[in-house]
Amino acid sequence: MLALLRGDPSADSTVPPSGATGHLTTLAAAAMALLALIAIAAAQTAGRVADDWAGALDGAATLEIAADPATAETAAERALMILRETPGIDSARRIGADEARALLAPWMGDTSMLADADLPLMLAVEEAPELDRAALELRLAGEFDDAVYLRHDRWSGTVTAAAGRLRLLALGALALTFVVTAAVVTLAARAALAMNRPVIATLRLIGAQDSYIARAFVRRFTLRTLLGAALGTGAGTALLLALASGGALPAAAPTGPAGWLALLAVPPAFGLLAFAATRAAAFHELRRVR
Amino acid sequence: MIAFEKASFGYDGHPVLEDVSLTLEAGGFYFLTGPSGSGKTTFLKLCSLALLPRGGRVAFFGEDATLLDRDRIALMRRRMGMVHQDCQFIDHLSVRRNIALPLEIAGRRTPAADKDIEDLMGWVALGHRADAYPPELSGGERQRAALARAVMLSPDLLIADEPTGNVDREMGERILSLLIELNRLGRTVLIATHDLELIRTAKREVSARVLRLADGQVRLAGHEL
Ligand SMILES: Nc1ncnc2c1ncn2[C@@H]1O[C@H](COP(=O)(O)OP(=O)(O)OP(=O)(O)O)[C@@H](O)[C@H]1O
Ligand SMILES: [Mg+2]
Repeated sequence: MLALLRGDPSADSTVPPSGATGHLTTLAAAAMALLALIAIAAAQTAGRVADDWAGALDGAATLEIAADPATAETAAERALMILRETPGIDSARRIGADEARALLAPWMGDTSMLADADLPLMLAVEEAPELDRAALELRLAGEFDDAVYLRHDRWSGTVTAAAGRLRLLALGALALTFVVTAAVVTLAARAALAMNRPVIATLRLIGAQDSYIARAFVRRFTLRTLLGAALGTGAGTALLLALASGGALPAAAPTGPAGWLALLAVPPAFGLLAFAATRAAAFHELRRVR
Repeated sequence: MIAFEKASFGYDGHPVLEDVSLTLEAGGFYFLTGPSGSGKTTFLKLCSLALLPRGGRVAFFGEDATLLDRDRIALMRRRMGMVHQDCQFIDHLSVRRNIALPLEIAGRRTPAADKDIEDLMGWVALGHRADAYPPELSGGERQRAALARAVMLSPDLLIADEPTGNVDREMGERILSLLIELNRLGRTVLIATHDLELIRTAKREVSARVLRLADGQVRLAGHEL
């Protein structure tokens, strides 16, 4: 692989430069790398959301009450009282404005501009197994006009499942970018090999082994793909960071070394893919020339 | 050197060579003649591993041609130089690079070899055309460049298909004298030609053997020439 990057001036120059096909390969690799980056970011975000929800919401519930600011305080106190005297409730507390903002942040972006009054009245509840939930919900419905008791494990399951599916979808898209890149490189390499069949025949005639002939093509397409993938990764990273810092999609930016590593792995992965694809194409095509 | 044992070959069922048995001895000087379309080029392609026999066997330096893998074929070709009827070059490389290419491919292009390359180009009188490109060469110059490339690796066997096909008599004799010189250096030479005058000229200089190809058979010609 290293020898490949260094190159063999002899083998390289025996194949004439291929112009437009080469630029198209670079362009396709760049586009695919950009898409791969978006897919990776989507997979990471979906994975993170699923993990957060699954971990934080286990056994927990939220009571959300629509109340205008004037009655919110009394409503909160009455709700707390009801909850505390219900058997099967381990604990209940009011969720403060700051905490509510933090909970909403992943979904709404910058929440600092939300006024306290805009935030719903929320209570965090820890359930014990013996809770008679139906009875509690009946009682709450009697006390308040518009109370929603959300048992998190009921719908956090739905959220994690949805996030999991989104993640699978993103990984599928990522795999597709690899398939398309391999296909494009294979087609371009085959076209170049077919176009250069007289050169290949001449080289074989004077005793060139397949590995010598393949080297020039493999190097060329690997470097082009690598260049394209690097450009695409650069553009993709800039795009993700812009989305994140602009507040449009705060979760878009990669988090931690693993997140960044996954992005930076795209160009070498594409390079390796191009190497394997061109090599396979070359040896396949060379078998047609004795 | 090359041994044919009841070797047969045909294109899509139409036979060209049938049960040919003969041995090319090391150091020999061979002419292959026969009417146009009799199969001279086909025979030479079997000799240069461009084709494999459909029946019987052809052995190179004792090795059965059908058992050689692609890499072995490449190595075998470095032991034989081939001048095709239509000399093929790599058009975007200079004549010098083209002639030196067998050395590069074999990984033997060293600074010391540069002098050999210049000598070789002088030998075929192409020194002044070294920096030209193959499409700029005349027919005779192409033949000589192909000959220089064919002998670059000092092959044991030199195969030439109509090497004087598209050059005038004077140039033809010049190419012939180069081939005779090679033979005197111990190389085996095999030339396909229907130029009987060329054969007569050669016979004055070397003990050439003439193989006649007709009706799918190869026979050693008598002394009628
Ligand atoms: N690739 C091919 N496919 C089918 N038939 C072929 C092919 N090459 C040659 N032939 C046929 O095989 C026969 C022998 O051809 P070959 O080229 O060996 O003749 P030759 O003796 O070299 O002729 P010439 O003196 O004109 O060069 C001819 O009838 C030719 O038409
Ligand atoms: Mg012929």
